[in-house]
Amino acid sequence: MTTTSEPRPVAPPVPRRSFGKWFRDKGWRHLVGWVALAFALFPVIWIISASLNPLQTLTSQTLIPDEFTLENYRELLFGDVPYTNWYINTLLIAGGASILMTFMSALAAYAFSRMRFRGRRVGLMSVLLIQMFPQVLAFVAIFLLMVQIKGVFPSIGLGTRLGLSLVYLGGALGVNTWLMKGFFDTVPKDLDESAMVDGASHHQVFFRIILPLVAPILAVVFLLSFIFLINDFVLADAVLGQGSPEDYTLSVGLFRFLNDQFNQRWGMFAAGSLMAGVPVVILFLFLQKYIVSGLTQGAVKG
Amino acid sequence: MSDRNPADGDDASTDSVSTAEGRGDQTPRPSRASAGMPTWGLVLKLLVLAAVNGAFLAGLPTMLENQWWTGLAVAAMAVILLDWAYLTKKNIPAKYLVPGTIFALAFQVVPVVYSGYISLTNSSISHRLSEQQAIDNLTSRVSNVPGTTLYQLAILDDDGELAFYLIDDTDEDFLGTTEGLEPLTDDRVETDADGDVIAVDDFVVLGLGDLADRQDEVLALEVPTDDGAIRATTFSSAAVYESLYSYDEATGLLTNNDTGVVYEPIEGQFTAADGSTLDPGWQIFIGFDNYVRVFTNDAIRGPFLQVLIWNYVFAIGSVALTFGVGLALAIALNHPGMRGQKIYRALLVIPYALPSFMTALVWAGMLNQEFGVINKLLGADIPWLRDPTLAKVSVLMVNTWLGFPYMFLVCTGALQAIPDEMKEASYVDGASPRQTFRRIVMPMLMIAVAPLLIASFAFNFNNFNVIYLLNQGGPPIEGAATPAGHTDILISYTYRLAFESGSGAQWGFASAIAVLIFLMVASVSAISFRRTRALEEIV
Amino acid sequence: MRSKRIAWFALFMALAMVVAACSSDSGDTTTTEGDTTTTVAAETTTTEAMETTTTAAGGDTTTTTVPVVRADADLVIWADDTRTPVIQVFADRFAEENGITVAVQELGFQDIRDRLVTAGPAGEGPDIIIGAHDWLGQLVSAGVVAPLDLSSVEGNFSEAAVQAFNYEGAIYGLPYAVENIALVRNTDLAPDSPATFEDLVDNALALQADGTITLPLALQENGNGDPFHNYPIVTAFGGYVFGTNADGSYNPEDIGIDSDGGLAAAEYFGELSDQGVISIDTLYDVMIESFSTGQSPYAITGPWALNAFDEAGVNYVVEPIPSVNGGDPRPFIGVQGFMVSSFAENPLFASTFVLDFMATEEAQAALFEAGGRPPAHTAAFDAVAADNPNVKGFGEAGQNGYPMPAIPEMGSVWQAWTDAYALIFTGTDPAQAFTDAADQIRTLIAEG
Repeated sequence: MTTTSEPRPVAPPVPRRSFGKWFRDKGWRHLVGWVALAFALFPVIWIISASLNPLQTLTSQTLIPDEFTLENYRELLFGDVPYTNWYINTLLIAGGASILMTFMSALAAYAFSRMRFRGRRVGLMSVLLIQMFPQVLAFVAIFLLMVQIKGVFPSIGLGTRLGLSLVYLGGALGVNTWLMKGFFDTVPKDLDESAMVDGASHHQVFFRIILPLVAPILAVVFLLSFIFLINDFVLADAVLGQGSPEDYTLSVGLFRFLNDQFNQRWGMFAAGSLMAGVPVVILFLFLQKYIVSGLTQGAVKG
Repeated sequence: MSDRNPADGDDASTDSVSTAEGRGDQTPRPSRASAGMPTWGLVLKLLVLAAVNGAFLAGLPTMLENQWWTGLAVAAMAVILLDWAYLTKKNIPAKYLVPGTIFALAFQVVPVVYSGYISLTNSSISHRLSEQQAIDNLTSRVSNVPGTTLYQLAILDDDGELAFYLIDDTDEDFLGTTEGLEPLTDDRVETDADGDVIAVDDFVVLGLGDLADRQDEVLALEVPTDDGAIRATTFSSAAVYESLYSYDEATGLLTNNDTGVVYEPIEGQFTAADGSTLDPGWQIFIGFDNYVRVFTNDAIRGPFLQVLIWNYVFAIGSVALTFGVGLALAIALNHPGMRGQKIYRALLVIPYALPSFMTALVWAGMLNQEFGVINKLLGADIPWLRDPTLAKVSVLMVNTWLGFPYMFLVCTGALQAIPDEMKEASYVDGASPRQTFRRIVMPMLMIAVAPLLIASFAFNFNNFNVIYLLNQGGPPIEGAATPAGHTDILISYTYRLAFESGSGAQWGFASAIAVLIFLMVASVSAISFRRTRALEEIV
Repeated sequence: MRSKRIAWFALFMALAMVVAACSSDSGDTTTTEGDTTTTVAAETTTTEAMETTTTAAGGDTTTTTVPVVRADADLVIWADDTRTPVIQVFADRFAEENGITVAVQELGFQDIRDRLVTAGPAGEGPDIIIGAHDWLGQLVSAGVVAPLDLSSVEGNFSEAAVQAFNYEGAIYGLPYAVENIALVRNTDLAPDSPATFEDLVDNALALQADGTITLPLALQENGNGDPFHNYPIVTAFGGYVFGTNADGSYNPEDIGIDSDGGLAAAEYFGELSDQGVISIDTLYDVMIESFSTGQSPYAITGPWALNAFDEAGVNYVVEPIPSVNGGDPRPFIGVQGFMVSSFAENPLFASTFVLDFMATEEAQAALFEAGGRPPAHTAAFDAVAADNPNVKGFGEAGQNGYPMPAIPEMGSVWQAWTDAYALIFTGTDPAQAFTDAADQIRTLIAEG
């Protein structure tokens, strides 16, 4: 680790607190944090309030409801709606697919970062450009594709959760590959080159040297993929939308709540969305140490 | 520096592809000696490969039978790629690229190619079927001959041959076969204890459940009479029908049996001599007509420029704002001694963690002029979504809210990648924190983030959902040639034309628009990439 | 070295063949699933549907209470969440009586239409859908619905409802409900039925002036403008959306939004908005809320809103909208019904279910109980209307209504007309707004 005698720009030891000094060092950070939280959370508080409000309308609601009720939550968790099924489906599909996506993306990023081969630049460009195509017919195209797949391999075709996971893997190469490649590029090449000289093979370098070093970005990419998949509606609806309600993901199930304009269930919808956000926040809390802690520094030195 | 991969041509390392057992070993010693024993890594690899190859072989007959050539091509390509990458010892980059590529091929490239193909067809709500499907649809149209009898019906079966048992409104019963209608005498009809008919001659009465796979047979059974053919209406009733159209396969012409008008297949639709057409038509290849139409369409040209300018403002503004806010927060909260960082960070991710179609709608409610909470709290009557300028500000604000956590996460992660040594070295050289940030941190950060900014631009350029959910593109532009709103972006505006004008959804036209917008965005992105390439070469 | 490679290759091929053999086994059972196979085979091939497959294949008499993907039931019905439970009851009965399997799949109402167009031709669609008559233009030109011969039951239904399902000379659906909007009046705040719309406005403004209420007329405008809810007032001035041909069908060449009547109506909407009688901010929620809480003495809405009013315990009556400017307000009439897909796997089951099971008074009354829309079945309507004044009120209000145009050109109308209202409510010259809207619609139709 760094020695204390070196100037530490990030955490200079402050022996005594004067407010001015504290503010210049940390206080303004808290100020920024609070302002950001106000901006970020105001609508969320509004949603929380809606979820506790017995009135099922959005516009008539006040910030502090006249009465509080947990009925919306109770109805979702123990009522007729298969909300818990959606929840489990979403965690399984999004969790499984984002682990694989992160892994495949890391594999590709390694190749793009460390190897030079024909078509590298074209490949890099393509993975990004392909995702820029407007998704107007994505619904139709994916639907027809899954119908065909169902005809050949019923267990991964239309209406199956496994099929949806595979569709998601199609997005493994993309922006996230770039994000990782950028990160990989900052890991000094001497590290793997010296390992190679010592006789390590490319996959040993990848698994044992590179992957531990890039843990922060793996965590970031995993989290981003997970959030993206939890929120995905178009693909999930195309694949699962006319299957059994028990097989829905959260976004498909919740969207159906809103679909009938004469049957608005804002409170339940709000409660359902809030609970959908919980795993993400927990996951983030859990991953934070990988994302934030200075792994790079330690490992580089070691 | 050599442009070659350090592993390339390295005998020891390439050979160790087949000796994965060294993985748990602290000092990897690839040795040819150990290659004789199958290791778990190798077995796993072979199992997966075998599974994929086996699945392909298993699916092959069905794919051939279904004539699903796209699937066959993609599947074959996938299998060949996999085997090539993992069963040979060269092609090391391929071993890392193939898994993701295969999925991208199947679920990204195929849909895009499909859109491209559709853009070259006349695909629309009335040209969605294949020619055969359209012909079947038209020739199956029958109409009840007015003034004829309605029959009660039981369906009879004699070893696979179907017939009708019919009772008319005067209680006379008949046997109906393809030969015609034959009056029945009581001795030929067998009834059960309840008086229900159970058999006629050698025919037995079928239950509805017996017909699950024989519907087409029943519906195809026509009992000829002088007025028309008796056909089943339901399982228990029949009536006299005449076909509306007859199709002559030899000439390809369709004739209306009622009026005698002859229809000729022209441009994917049956067309009469007077130019009138029959729906449904069918999908045909029309080359670049849809593209020509985009450029010559008066409706599109209307408010095009205004929409295009706002589209750029929106996309660039969204990227700048989300990145600016995200980066500022990432820096502010990136301080080892700061208390509560974890909580701040976790809470700041929440806007991103909630389903965006929900939060966009919540924002729309909050910004409502009369009932929205924002105006209520401010005690004001501000037309957030009604005034053209304010609406644009609101859209950008909401999109910033939706998107800044993404940039915050990315920047937080990317900041960790910058080795403290580099910053420290800069301090040692006497640079101030600000200079260090500008000269060291920012350029390093941009290497990782620049491609994301470009991708974010492309995403927001086509961010239909936010525009649509928040304000449906409104407020409307006064006096526009076609309905358009001040916050409409190209994609929301043109899709409305493609899906709401004339006779309804026109997928061919919409796809052509999508391709053109893609070309536009892709070229902007490609140009931007030339700059990031320069950046990349620095390191 | 060489021999080792060959050995590896042999091992690999062997593994491949094993996997191929295993998976082709399950492939075979799939293809025979349609025949009368054993329960076991059906279960192994539908592992992905897992716990939801409660059905046995073949001639078993169990019904799927939970639908799985298409082809797991002999008859598949798509319905929305309001109608699904009712249809399920009859579907179960149909399945039990005939020893077949029936699945009712719940989709969003608009979703049914959009998905049928894609799923039908792909072989993944249902046999029967419920839907609105004004979808016919799209569904028929897409070739996804089949004509239905109603001759045996036609006499039991309101003629107007049956005719609504007539598209270009053929009938495509069995109606079950007729819906239109009407005036809903709070009898505590406004005890007397207004003789004219002008009386209504005066009365409402007086109530607002003395602080009794806040919103004079709860007319849904959805934040932009709502051509559907505004239509009765437009027609009272002589405005119209499409003119009619001699045979009663709509003529898309004749757009009446900028006719003299249409422009007069536009001016009147400008007045109503300026006086604060109606508000652009009246979303569906707001309409419900303000009428339920007595903040609005009048609402113009349809049967779908009554549940909320009843729950709030407000006293009200449903009656026709009174004459505006001396003219009769005529609402759009929407008819909902059952349609049979032209890609139905079992069209005979479908027509049998629709005509023998859902055309009965009992079924139609049950659908009324669920959705609150007046039944299209005459006897069911009479029975319901006899002890339900609301149904009677909506029925009277719809007497002189116009069926919602089913022609595809109607798709070009909504956005343009909505925009025109939004502009009027935010201060644009009303006549200009309607003239622009009519021009936009003509452009859109011409470009289609």
